[in-house]
Amino acid sequence: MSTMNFKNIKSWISIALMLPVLAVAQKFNVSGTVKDGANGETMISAMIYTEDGNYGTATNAYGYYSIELPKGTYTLLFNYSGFATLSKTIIVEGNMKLNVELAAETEEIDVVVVTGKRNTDNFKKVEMSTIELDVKKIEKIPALLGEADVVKAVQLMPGVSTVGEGATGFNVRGGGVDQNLILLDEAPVFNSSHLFGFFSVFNADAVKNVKLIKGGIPSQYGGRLSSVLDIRMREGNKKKVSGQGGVGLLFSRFAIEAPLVKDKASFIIAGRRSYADILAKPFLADNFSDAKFYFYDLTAKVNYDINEKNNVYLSGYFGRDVFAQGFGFNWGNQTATARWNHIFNNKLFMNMTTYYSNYDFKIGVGNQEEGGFQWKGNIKNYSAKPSFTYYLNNNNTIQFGGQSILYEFAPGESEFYAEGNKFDFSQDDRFGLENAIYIGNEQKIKKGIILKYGLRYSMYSYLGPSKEYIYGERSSITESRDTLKVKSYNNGEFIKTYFNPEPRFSAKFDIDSVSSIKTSYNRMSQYIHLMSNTAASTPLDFYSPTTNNVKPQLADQIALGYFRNFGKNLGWETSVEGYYKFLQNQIGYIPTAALQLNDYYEGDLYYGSGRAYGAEFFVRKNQGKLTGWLSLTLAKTEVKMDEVNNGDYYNNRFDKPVVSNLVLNYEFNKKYEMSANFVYNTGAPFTSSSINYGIQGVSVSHNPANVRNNARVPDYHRLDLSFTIHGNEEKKNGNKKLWHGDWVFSAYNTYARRNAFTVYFENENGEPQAIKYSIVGTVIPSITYNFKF
Amino acid sequence: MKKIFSAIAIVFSLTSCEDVIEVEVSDGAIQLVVDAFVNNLAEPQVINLKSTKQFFDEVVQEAFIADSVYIKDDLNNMYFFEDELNDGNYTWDDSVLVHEGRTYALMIKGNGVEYSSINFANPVPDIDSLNWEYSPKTIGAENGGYLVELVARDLIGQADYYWIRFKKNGVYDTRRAGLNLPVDGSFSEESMADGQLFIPPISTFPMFNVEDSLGLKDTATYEIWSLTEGTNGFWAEVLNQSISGGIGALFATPTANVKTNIISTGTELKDQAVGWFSTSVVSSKTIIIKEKEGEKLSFPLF
Repeated sequence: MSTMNFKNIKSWISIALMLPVLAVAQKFNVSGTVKDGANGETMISAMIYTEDGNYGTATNAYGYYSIELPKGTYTLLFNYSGFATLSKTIIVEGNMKLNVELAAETEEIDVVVVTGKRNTDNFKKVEMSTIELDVKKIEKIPALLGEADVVKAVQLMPGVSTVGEGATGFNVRGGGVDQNLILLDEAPVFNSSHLFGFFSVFNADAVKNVKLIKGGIPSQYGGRLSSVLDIRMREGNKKKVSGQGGVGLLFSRFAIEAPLVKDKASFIIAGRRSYADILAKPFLADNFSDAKFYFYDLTAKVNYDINEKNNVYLSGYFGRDVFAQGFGFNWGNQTATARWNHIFNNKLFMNMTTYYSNYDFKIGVGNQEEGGFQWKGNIKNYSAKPSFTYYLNNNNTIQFGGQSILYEFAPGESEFYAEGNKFDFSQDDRFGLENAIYIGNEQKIKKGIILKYGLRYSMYSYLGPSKEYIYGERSSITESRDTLKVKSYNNGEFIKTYFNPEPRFSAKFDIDSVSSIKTSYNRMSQYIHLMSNTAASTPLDFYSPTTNNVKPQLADQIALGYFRNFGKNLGWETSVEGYYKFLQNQIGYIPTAALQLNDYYEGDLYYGSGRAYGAEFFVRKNQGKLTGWLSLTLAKTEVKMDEVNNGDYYNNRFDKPVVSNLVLNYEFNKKYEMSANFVYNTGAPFTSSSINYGIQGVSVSHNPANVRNNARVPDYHRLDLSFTIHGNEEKKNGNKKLWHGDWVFSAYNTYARRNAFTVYFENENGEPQAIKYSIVGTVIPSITYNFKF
Repeated sequence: MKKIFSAIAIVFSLTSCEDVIEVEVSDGAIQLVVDAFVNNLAEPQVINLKSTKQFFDEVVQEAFIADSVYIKDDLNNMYFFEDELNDGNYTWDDSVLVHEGRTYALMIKGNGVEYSSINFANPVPDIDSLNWEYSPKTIGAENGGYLVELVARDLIGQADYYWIRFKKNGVYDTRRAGLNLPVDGSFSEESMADGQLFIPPISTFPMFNVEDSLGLKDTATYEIWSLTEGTNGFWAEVLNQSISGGIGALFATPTANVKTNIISTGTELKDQAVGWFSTSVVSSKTIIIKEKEGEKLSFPLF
């Protein structure tokens, strides 16, 4: 009857005292790494979210995540395309570590049926103007000579184009080939292709993830105006020895990976080599019989998980293109990266990267005794890059850090040998130092609105012992400037310094559960400039630093897009995105610009501005037997220089008003698969004389207003097909085979269209004639055998 | 660079090709072309005035009708040129026009604008003689023909710029590849060939095909025209305009305009002129090819 005694009162008081504490819910961090169960590879951009959808995050470039949850019980879902969603029930009472491994989806599970797995990346992520591909997606695209090609896959996406076969780089949203920051495990690569654009330097066997950011570039990236192509290598199988490769008509590749310490350390080495020259020997004319032309590359990585808080990685790339026929001509990139990840606590993650990168070319014949010459050039950089991620709370993730890059430019070192003597015609080396610090935050305002904002502050100094060249005026618009003075500096002296604040902003607003609007603004600066006045950039083009004459290039880009998914399980992705980019301090050249082996090349340059704008339409089907995408870009890119075309805007060399790509992949069954891609784009512009006249019977061409790019080559279109026969992965008794292989039959340029690369004129006998030169004028078939063990 | 091109060409030789195509080029501004190469020979001097034409238009250049065209020398002599037929060919044939050592100014009035230019008449060496010899075949000509050699020596002292021209049966060779522009006895001022005899390839007419080859009874004329350094530079830029085709097109830069020494008082693009004014002293020698009458060539045939 009377339960009110002292003990009860004490309990009531304790409960009463606890109420305020209970009202402030305690929050804790759950963090860890997400890995592929088959080989221990960390998974980039894997999604983690609570079943109720209230909390979510993604893994970073190192597979690491941190999610803040109030005290309680949750079912956490781990999701990655192509893998079975993993479900873990956890009780959150304090900070906790949760490392998981995902299992690949087996063929039997119909993708459509798996609950909770909706294809939402398209509209849920705040990132816009971004294309992310994992290797499985890249392997499905038919490529030249049967090899999956990272850069070719990126070129099939909206907003990306090239001037044609033979171009060593690609253009993003109307930007030049040097305006793309191409990173392989954080180290920059300067020439992304082998054999004049036919193959990329990235061996798909060693690549884990590819991300192309065309706009709304986050504050941790800087140094190029138009895009970031961030390529991450695989670490190497941490569980067992495995390998893969392919043998083809013109080249082969092989990759091997294995654990050094099971589940803790591993390595991967992948190499490729072409041998077209050896096979073609019997077919070549006598004067070419000792010719060599081939490429090779080697990609390698070693990594070690020291403990729960520390990982180290060492990766490198070495590749070369070689031409030789009595003389040698070769070029290539080398990179070496060392990285250390350190987890301070479950809120603060750090990555410390240092790298060395070198792109060089070399031409030479003969030697000092017999006569000849040698000419080489390179660009080297050394850099340190600390970057931090601070998971402040569920609504705010802060990134901050910095970068310092020391540049050495050797535009051309050349020696001529005659009669036992050596004559030096080298250009002086030049030096620069680029520094940056950045801070940014990704903030969830409320359900359905995410803002990402930040500031990167960069500065660049032109350093001694470079020389400072001071120029006067030009006597006419097509002449070089007069050199007034050349000043020498000591090692490390600062000649000229520039500062550039670069604000970055992007935002996403959900309209409903299947669509969103995204918008972004970024300001980018670029301190190195590719000097190229030829039809397309070539391996001999050199990089100029920013100097007292050549100012940093700047770009401001705004973008706005609408993203929506349709269909069962949202398997159809669509988007339409518009952008406008204004560029400053763009470089042009006088008609007779002498860029090679000329210390006074700065006197041959014009400066002006540019603008690029366009609309990108994209539809992609990700599920079912028939998958693929259609991309259409309508765009314009123009340049304006006082001395050219009366100071009016004129077409940029890579302006393509219409670029469209259709990629289709059909899986008949487990064994047979077919894919096709059809590419159509407007022909690239080129500079043509617009006038001619006769003098004393000789025909002379003329360009009255010093116009550029006033004509176009014919339109470009091409169909590629490929057919794959997959080998069985299992033996008749159901056990896994030791190794299995696929046969790939492909045809590049199936209807043998002679797409023009450039047009030149012959007017020897009176009337001029236009002649188009096509690099690929036939169909190129190939057969490749790919194997995996 | 040619070797690099041919090396790269082998990679693409199995796949690449060239085709003639139609190209649309946006129109350029039409301007006056002044073709004014006058000399000291006792023959009518012609200044040709025409309009330029659009690059691919297969039309004849239109004649330019000027209000007046005259040349004045530094002794105040005036030479008025007339175009009787209104075909753009302005002629003077009253007396010898060019005299060595004088400076000449060209004045053209027309179109509401005045065009002017200046040039100087440099000396030229006499031609000693012409030798000729039959050659069964030679570089560039698979059929036999008579090779005709010019025997003359560069003037000693200053740097001399010449234009050596050849006429077969009274018709000038006008091929770009036939432009023969020596400096002293060689091709540049620094070459130590001052005062030297002309040697091949300067002293022989290049025969590239059957039409050029010379046979019995053909008339061959060599003319040495004196040029100023500027005129030599003009022709060098014309020669520079040929672009390498094929794989060389990958490395091609935009065609550069050829310079002009015609100045216009007009400010707009359409009032500017292209072309060149040159005053030359010419020495000339002609022979009729008769078997066994020529002196043998001074250089061995093979």
